[in-house]
Amino acid sequence: MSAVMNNVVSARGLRKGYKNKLALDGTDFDIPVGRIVGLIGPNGAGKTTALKAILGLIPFDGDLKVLGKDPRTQRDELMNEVCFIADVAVLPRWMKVKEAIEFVAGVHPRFDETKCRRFLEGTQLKPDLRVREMSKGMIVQLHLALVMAIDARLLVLDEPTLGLDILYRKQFYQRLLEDYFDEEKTILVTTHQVEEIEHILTDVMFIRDGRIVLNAPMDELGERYTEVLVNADQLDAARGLKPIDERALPFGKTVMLFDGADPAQLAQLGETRTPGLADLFVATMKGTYA
Amino acid sequence: MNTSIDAMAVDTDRPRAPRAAPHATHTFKLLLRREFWEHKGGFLWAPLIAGAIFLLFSLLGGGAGQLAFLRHADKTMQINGREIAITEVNWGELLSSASPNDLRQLHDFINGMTMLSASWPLLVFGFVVFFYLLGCLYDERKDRSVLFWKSLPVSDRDTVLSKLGTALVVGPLLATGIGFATMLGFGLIVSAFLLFNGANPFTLYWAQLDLPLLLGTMLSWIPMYILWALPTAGWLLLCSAWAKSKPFLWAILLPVFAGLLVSWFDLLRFVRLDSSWFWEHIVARLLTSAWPGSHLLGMIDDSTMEVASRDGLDLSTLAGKLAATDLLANPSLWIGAAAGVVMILAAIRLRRWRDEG
Repeated sequence: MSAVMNNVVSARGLRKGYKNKLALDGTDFDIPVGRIVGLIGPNGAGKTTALKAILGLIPFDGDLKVLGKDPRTQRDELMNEVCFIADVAVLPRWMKVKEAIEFVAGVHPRFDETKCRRFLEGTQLKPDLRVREMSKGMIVQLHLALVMAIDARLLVLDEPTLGLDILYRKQFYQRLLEDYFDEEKTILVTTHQVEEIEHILTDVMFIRDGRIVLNAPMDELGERYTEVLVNADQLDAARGLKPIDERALPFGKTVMLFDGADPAQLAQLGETRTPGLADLFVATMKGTYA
Repeated sequence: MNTSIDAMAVDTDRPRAPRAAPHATHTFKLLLRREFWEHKGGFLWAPLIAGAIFLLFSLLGGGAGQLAFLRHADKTMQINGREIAITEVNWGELLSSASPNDLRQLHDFINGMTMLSASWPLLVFGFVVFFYLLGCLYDERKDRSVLFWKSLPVSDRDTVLSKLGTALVVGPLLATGIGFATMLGFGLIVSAFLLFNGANPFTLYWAQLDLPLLLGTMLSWIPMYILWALPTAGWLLLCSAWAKSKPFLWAILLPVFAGLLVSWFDLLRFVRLDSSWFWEHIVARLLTSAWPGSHLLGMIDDSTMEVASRDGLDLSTLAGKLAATDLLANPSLWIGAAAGVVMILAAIRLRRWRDEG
């Protein structure tokens, strides 16, 4: 029972079909409290559908509990504790900064108005500025300030930085960590910019064709997967250990990715290192679009 | 940059501020205010501008009339058998010697004319409310801002009801207030012309004006309007929540095509009804009942209306007509309202489950 309570999200056998395709195909996963989880998958793998199911935006089959509640039937109560940025630039274009603050303060019991104003200090977001007059980066800045001033237990971010320049993207995740995240909050994020968020994630889930194919804490990934820079003369020996991926580098070297192989054995083949999330992703998703 | 982020990620043991107690919320008030922020142009400025334009035209028309009046200053009129040049008429004396019947007619004429000046803001409101209802659940899906609204703890029921309340309560009240202000403005213009022609506007105009009656009449239509407009409001909200694109075409064409089918094949003959019944009770109720004053059409067959048109309508009966309490006995009102409620419930459900892709 306590294990269930410690899970912010607990999903069993989620199913959701669109016209001719299953977006979620018996998906199972748990998200414990106090984690920053990256949900990563190729286009059309079911990421957004999974998030929408968690947020109670769509009907689906299966068993899903978010903070102990069913998002299909208890969505209204759930939204007091869950917040999300579903897409970039969904703030209504007619709205002024001060109207956005007044509105959220008036309808959300856990919104801290002073905090929100503090987040906006030193930005170009003046109270009378309308969303339609803002750049995409500024809209996301405002949305993030609104969301971070809400003391929610689960924050869901779906491609929150799509189309932003690198300055805004870095600032976005940095603020989230410095001014928002703590051990009682949980953040679930999807993005294609894997390299940029792998340093902040505590856990990662890979989703492919509506199923979770990998679900592990980041430190476990380092123990399990090893990348080896194999010299040309060791190639056959290395292939004998069944790498899950291999790619050639210039000057005759080959990088191979191993899952759960013996580290001592690997060390003899060449230089070893922990693989990046992006390389791991590419290796896992091989053949997706084939 | 990256290293600092790294360090932060590891440091999950930071002390945490105690979770603040939730504060009170005023959801419905804020929802109504939100609608007003977004649609201030339609519900405030459009009727206001309509009223202002009417006043401007009254001024221009009055000026032209004044010129014509002065050009014919040599004309005389017959008052109590005496010939008096019309520029020389002593209006005050005329008023004091007028018969009670003449006075009543003057009273009704002045009040009726003044009340008509409020019709422009209300007419414009009729357009605004139609397009507001048709767009309010569609536009938020089109610009995807529905994803922002749905990220807040506000139920779909409250959201849709706030839009309904804006259309049927806040909007009519604003339009009526602006209409009343337009009446006062019109009164000032009339006074100015009376003064210019040497008449006393207080005795001739303002003393005749029954402001409480006018304001009461103008407010009295709203309760009946709310009930009467429900089927149209429900239908437009339903189209707004349902249409993937072009809610306007769906909202208009579905009932009109249904009406055409019924007329062509005379489908209602099986239930011994004329197809005009369908147009009057289905098509018109779905599309035109949110028009201010349209509920008066619901009484056209009413015998009292015939009596009124035969004997002439005096102002206090007209005021009673606008409140239209007779309509409460009309099943069309209640069946329409019930259908409206069902469609509103359907719109709420659609907003809850519609997948925006």
